[in-house]
Amino acid sequence: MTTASATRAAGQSTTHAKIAIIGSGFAGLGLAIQLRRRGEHDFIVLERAGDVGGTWRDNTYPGAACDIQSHLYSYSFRPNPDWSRVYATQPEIHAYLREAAIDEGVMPHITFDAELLESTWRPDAQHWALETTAGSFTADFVVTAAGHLSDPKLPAIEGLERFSRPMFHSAQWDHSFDPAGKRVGVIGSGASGIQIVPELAKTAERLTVFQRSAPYIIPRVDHEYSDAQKSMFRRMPETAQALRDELYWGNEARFPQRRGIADFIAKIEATARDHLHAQVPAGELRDKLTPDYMIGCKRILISNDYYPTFLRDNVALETSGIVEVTETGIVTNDGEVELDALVLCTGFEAADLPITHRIFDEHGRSMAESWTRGGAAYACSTVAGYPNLFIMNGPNSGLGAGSIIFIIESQIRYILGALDHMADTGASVIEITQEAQDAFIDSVDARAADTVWLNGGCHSWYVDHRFGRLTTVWPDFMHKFRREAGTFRPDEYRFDGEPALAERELEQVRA
Amino acid sequence: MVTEQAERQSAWHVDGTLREPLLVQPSGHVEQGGRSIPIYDSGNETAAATIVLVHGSSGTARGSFWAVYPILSFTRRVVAFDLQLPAEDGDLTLADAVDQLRAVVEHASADGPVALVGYSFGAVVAAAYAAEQPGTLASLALVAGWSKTDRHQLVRNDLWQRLHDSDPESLQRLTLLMAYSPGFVVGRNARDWAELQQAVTRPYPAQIMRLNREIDITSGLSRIDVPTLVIGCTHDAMVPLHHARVLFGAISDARYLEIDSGHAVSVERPAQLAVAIDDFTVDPREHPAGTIIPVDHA
Repeated sequence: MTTASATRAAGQSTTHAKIAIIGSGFAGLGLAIQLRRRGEHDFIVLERAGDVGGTWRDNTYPGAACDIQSHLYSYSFRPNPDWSRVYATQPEIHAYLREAAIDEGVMPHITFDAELLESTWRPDAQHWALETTAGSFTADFVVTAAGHLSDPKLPAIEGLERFSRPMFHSAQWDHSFDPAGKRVGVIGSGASGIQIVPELAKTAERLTVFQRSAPYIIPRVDHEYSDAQKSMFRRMPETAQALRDELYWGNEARFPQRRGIADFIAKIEATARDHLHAQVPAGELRDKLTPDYMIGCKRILISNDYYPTFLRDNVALETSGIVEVTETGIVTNDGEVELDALVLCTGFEAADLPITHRIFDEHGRSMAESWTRGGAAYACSTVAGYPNLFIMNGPNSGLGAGSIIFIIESQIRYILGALDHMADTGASVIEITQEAQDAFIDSVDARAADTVWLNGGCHSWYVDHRFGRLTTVWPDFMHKFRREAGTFRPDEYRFDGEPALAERELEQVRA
Repeated sequence: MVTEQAERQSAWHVDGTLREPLLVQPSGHVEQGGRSIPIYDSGNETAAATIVLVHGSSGTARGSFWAVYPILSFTRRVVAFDLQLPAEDGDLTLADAVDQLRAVVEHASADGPVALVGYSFGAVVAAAYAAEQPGTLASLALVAGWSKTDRHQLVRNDLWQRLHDSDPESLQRLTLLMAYSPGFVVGRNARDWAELQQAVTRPYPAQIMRLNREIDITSGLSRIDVPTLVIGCTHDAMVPLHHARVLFGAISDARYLEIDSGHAVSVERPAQLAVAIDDFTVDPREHPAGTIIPVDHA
């Protein structure tokens, strides 16, 4: 046995692996699967929870579903002909990931309940020293796959901690909680909130939604796949591939909306406006639900049942602004709303990624500290000063229009390419130069400057507001991400402290 | 690889408002043979070759390039124009169209050879021009083009003529069937379907449709010696795929890409078309001559 986890001596010596992957969501599992398929066994996956699935393990709230089509929001190398519908719900996506982890032999590599506390580069040993809640590990390479939507963000509202009745974040749903007959408050009207609100409204005695800014919502064009279609996808995998490609390019055609191209903006704006007008009659309610910023500045949401929920007698939309939370309710600029329970649909720490506060260079400086202007990584993957480390779903790797799985698979290609290059050349330590990182970030910033995310007049989680930079999402086509950040090129790196070998020398090494 | 970008064209005015739709108001005119040809010149000169776009049978730059022009113009100088047609009963000739293109290329090529892109009938014009004056070009992209009108096209063109003269509503249905792939038609929601139907209410100019019957540029193709990208559309019913494949065979320095769409690729796959042209024109020799560029599946 050569699997890293099997070589661990009971509670004593530190386990060493060639590669340590932090997280077992779509990103970490995807990389682990590809390593296994290549016959690589010397890797460990450190997972802070007790199961795989990341975001799709944690977000179990009622109504949780993906808003990217499942035939695209899944691994290209593990197609699933059996997706039940266009936009699968959370249990189905989580089951897909669990089955993938088991089938692909990844499970024995995972240490569960192992939350990373700190990871420090040791230049003498040329490895990373990792401290976790499940003990110490060392690894030649670290890949952080901790995700953007992992760590719940609580709203900065006066008195929130005073609330004495049931209160929880959407990603930490309390399934013992029964809204029936209760007065429930929901703070937030983003992607999670709009899925939760219609569900709570079904049984709550009274539901009050506290909205800071209205989202744009377009129809959810969803349907079940028939048995005939599923069988067709299974018997003729090329039909599933064609569907996947169609969905991919359909999503790519949404990017020009973010880039502010008038014809694209006009079309999506009209779609959203007509959807609102078809579902909510003119008047105060419609006015409150009408966004006051340019479409796409915040995530465009898809729902057919969110707007109609506000036409119910037991649902209220509160937009006057929260003053404070009391023991028993919320005080707004319009008065006080007494609540039996409060659900926080306030999103995640996406800009200031918590994991980057736990990764330290050889001088003890955290990656977050090294980012004096917000998240920055060369090819969205590597950071100067942090050798032998790759970030997945890190800076500028999210999307405003597309499937994060495509980004993840691009990053897997990149990491495997880097590992191959090092195996070919015998190098032990890889590090990006600050100059290359800065030049890459300049190029990203230049593109970001002309997007709706920085021009659309909204306050979104795509932007690191400490620095006014777009650090969360990729400001170009997904296709460009794969070209620029999905194929490893050694030229800008230093290997064992030396510049990359020229291609000619590399051929000699290979020979 | 980070592309060098001298200056990017913003979608926003300095006061924060959005710019108007492109390809509506010409930025200027090019004089040729006593006529004024309206052009749409994005400016924004960069290190990469200026792109010149030649529209298809719909008769306008906006009809063919409503998506491609703005996407490309963010990082490049792009020049498009509306071909000037004779009166409806007059005859457009290929030589006349080539003359107009020549004038536009002259306008656009102050800073060196241009990247010429033609779509459908525009690909025919672009290829005919490239056969005459390859020296003015950095590259050539032929999208859903053809070199010699064949029987299959004539049958459709006959039907088009009859319906054009007698039954405009049926002409619209014919156009829907010919322009879009079956999958695209079936996959639209009610709103998008209504929009597609609206888009075909204005028939293509009869002058171009008549000229389309007589195309034969076969003999010139061997003279095209610039790097060429031939794009064929898998489900094209107007210019079926065999035309693109013959173009790929005929042009020595050609590479070939197939897009899974009907003829109206700029509607069905606007982003794919735009990035294919962008990638090719930035580095026309990335793929050697003769390459069938593999589709990079999602």
